[in-house]
Parts: sequence; structure tokens; C-alpha cells
Amino acid sequence: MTSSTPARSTQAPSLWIVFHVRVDSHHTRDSQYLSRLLSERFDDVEKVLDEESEREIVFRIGRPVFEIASYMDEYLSKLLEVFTLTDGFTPHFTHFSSEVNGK
Amino acid sequence: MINALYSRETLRKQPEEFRIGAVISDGMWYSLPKWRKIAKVSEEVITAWIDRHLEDGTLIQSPCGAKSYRFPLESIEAWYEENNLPLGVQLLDFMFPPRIWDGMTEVEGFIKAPLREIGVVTFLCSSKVAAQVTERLRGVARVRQEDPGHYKCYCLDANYAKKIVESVFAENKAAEIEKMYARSISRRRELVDFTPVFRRDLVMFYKSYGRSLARGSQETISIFLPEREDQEGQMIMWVIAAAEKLNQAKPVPFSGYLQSVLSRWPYNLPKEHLGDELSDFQRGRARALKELRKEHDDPSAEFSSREIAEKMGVSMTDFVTLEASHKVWLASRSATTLTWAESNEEKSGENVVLGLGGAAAVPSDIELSHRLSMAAVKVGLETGLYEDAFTLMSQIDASDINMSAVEQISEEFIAALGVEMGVGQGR
Repeated sequence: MTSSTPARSTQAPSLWIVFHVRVDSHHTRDSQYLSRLLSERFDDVEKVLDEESEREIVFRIGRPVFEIASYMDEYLSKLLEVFTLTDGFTPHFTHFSSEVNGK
Repeated sequence: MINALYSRETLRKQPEEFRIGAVISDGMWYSLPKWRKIAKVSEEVITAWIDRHLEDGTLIQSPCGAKSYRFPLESIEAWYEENNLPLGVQLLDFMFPPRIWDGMTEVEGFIKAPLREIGVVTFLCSSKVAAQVTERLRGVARVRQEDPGHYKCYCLDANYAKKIVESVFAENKAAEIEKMYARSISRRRELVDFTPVFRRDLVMFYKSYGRSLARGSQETISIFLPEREDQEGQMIMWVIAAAEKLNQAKPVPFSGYLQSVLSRWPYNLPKEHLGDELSDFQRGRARALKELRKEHDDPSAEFSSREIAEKMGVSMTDFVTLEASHKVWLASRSATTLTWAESNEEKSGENVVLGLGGAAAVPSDIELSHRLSMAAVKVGLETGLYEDAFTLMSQIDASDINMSAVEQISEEFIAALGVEMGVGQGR
């Protein structure tokens, strides 16, 4: 993936998820929907790429540091829920580190 | 056909008697209307010719009473001699010369190897159970794999063989046995019933001729069997299967029967190579794409997976799952490093993490990345191997795969991921 938007440096382990927006859909509305969906479920959410021309919206979400089973299960369940609810955007994890963006 | 003595046009200028003989002298079965049409003679003329030759025994009528006729070998030889023509010459440019193998016409070869009544027991099970059945039935029946996991045992007494199959099944897990049924009487011949020379020449002739008979299915054949050698091998299998079933008591030329079955059998290839679900998906996908292009009046237009899925009337989740399997299959067609599972039942890729990168992977493939992402989350939840899940998530869609990280993923996680992705699973 290429982007002119630099990723925010973060010390906490994170996951990046890219959502693909259909060409015939309303980009701003979709972007707001995705933001709300993620923010309702995760504390540490950041939109790192939202360019209508690329039809992609990328979010960074913080992930648990400690492997506490109940917390991990809850976190992954929320991820699965997001993936299922946003199936139409064919979301998937992506690589969006500062190194990728030339930082 | 080149260098033939007569074309349809020049044959028409020959005497009626010659025209009638020229057609029937190839030794095949001809119905009265077909024969008359090719020879271009009146019904009265050909009927008189037939009556005369039936009376002197040089012409044979179908034993089932149909108005179909053929020349035996002696009559063919006599006709060529009477007309000062060398046997084997290309007489007509629209018909093959007489097919005489091992001193028999093609029809006579089948008559000398008649269908026999046999019993057939059909069963569906794993290859492991089938091997045990085969061993137990040695000397009693012959077991053949018809399709993956689908076996038939040919024997004299289906009820006797069925009991033996049941006893093997009883010794094995019920889960490995799907279905079994027996037919007490079926009719077929084995290739060994023909003389060695006859069966060799029969198969060699139809291996080539069958290709032109299956011309309408060539596109399907080429998709599933891209190599010419594989296509020839498959054609030989079809020719043998047809030869084992042709009813010699009916006045049907083998070429006609083969043409009939070759209009159907190639369409079993998708099922044999992909399984029902994926072959249905491929057909539905192709149909949906065709309809969408027609609707948009653009024969080369590309459509998103969602649009195709909507057209097919399937959920996006099902579409993505089958699309990924479809792409894995497409990649495996050209792969050179296929490995066979121990069961010999299924080809599997060397690495289940196909979406991660490498020559066989499609890293930019959105659908595959989506599916792999979903699978990573699900397997993480199922196995509790969270670190493995996060390692995999961190490498999806990466332009530069960190192989040392990927190699740290546990075998347990990889195995579960393989199951989730449907890679390396039996049908």
C-alpha cells in the first residue's frame, strides 16, 4: 500500500486495518460509519488514512500488551464482530508502520 | 480428408449400384434412411439392392429387427475386389476407410466380445477403506475408483460381494463410509475381452478421432487438463469406458455412441477436479459475470466481488470463501511444487499461508487478505494462540514478509488455520 499520509508514531503495539470503499458509495458517510463502529468497541482508535481517491480507509487500533486470556478473547471477538459487520468493505489487516512510510 | 477418390459431388456421378456399395463398404451399421440419403438413391432402388444382398447372405440386418444393415468383412473385401480398389484406400472424402483390426471389422470386434451380465456394488468411502475392500475381494471382484472417493466393484454375484464390503465397513469407523448400494445385474465387457490387436487399434484410432468428436467440449477439457498428454490420457480413459459399455446387439456404431457420451462426460471434469461446491461456484460466477457484462453492454468490463456475489445471489462471506479456493486452485494449476497428502486423495500446497507472499501467493489480493484476516482472528479465538494470531496479522498485506517471524508461528496454529482456510482438506 502506498500513502502520502504519515502514520503516527506509537509505542503501543497496534494493528492496522484497511477498509475498501466502493466507487459508487458515499465515501464520507462510510468513513464516519467505520470510525463510529471502531470507536464504540476499542479505546485506542486512530484513522491513519482516509483518501477518497484511493478508496481506502485505514485505521490503527491498539492491541493488548498482556496475554490475559479473557481480555484477548474479548478483543478478538470485537475484531471479528467488526470484520463481520463491515464485510462489504472487505477489511483486512495491513502493514502500516512508520518504516513503510519512509519515516 | 485429403486424397480421397470421391467427394460427395463426384460420387453422385457414379452408378447407383456403386454409390450404395461405397457407403456400406465401410463395415459400419447404417439405418435405411441414412444410407439412402448418403448414397442419394430412391427407396425402391436401395430396397431392391438390400433384398438381393440379404438373400445371398452378403448383407447383414440388425438382429434386433431394426432396418439397419452392415457388410461383414468378407463382403467388404469382395466389394473392393469387384471394383478393382485396394482395401484401405481413402474412398470417400467424408468417411473413414473400413476399420479392420485383427481380421475383424469394428462391429465384428464388439460382437465377438459381447456384454456380459455382472453384479455391481457401488460404495463411497475413504481410500484407506477402499484398499481393504479391494484386498478382501481379490479373486472375487474387481474394484475400481470411478471418481474420488467413489468406487465400484464388478463381480458375478453382487449380493455376495456386498456382504464382503459390508464386513470391511463394519470393521472400520462408520464416519468413513458414506454410502453403498448394489445392483445384481449390469451389463458390460472388459477391455481384455477384445483380442490384444483389436483393442490396441481401437483405442489408438479413437484416441485421435475422439478429439474431434469432443470438439464442443474442448474449452472445458483444456481448462482442467491444460497439457496435451493429459488430454490424450483422458480421451483414452473415455474411449475405454465407452468400449466397455457399448451394446453390440444394437445397430449403433461405436463412433456414434462415443460421440454421444463425449457430449456429457467432459462436463464431469469440473466435479472430478474441484468437487461439487467449487465447480458450481465457478459455473455460477462465470454466468453472473456474463450477465453483468451483457447488462452493461461491455464484454470486457470487470466487476467487484460484491457485484458478482449479488448477481449470483450468494452472501459475500460464501463468495469470498469460494473465491479464495478458486484462486488457490488456479494457482495450483501452474504450480510446480505440489505435494500429495499421505492419503493420496488431495493435492495440497506446501504452505498454508498463501496470502502472505512468495511466488505462488497474491499479496495484493484484497479478497484473500480479507479471508486470511478473518481466519487469523477466528483461529486466535479458537486456539488461544494469541501471539501466533498477532504475528500473522502483522504480516498480512506486508510488502516485505518477515519470514523469521512467520516461521515462529506454531504448527498447531498453522494446522488450525489450514482447516479454517479450507486448504489441504479432503472433499
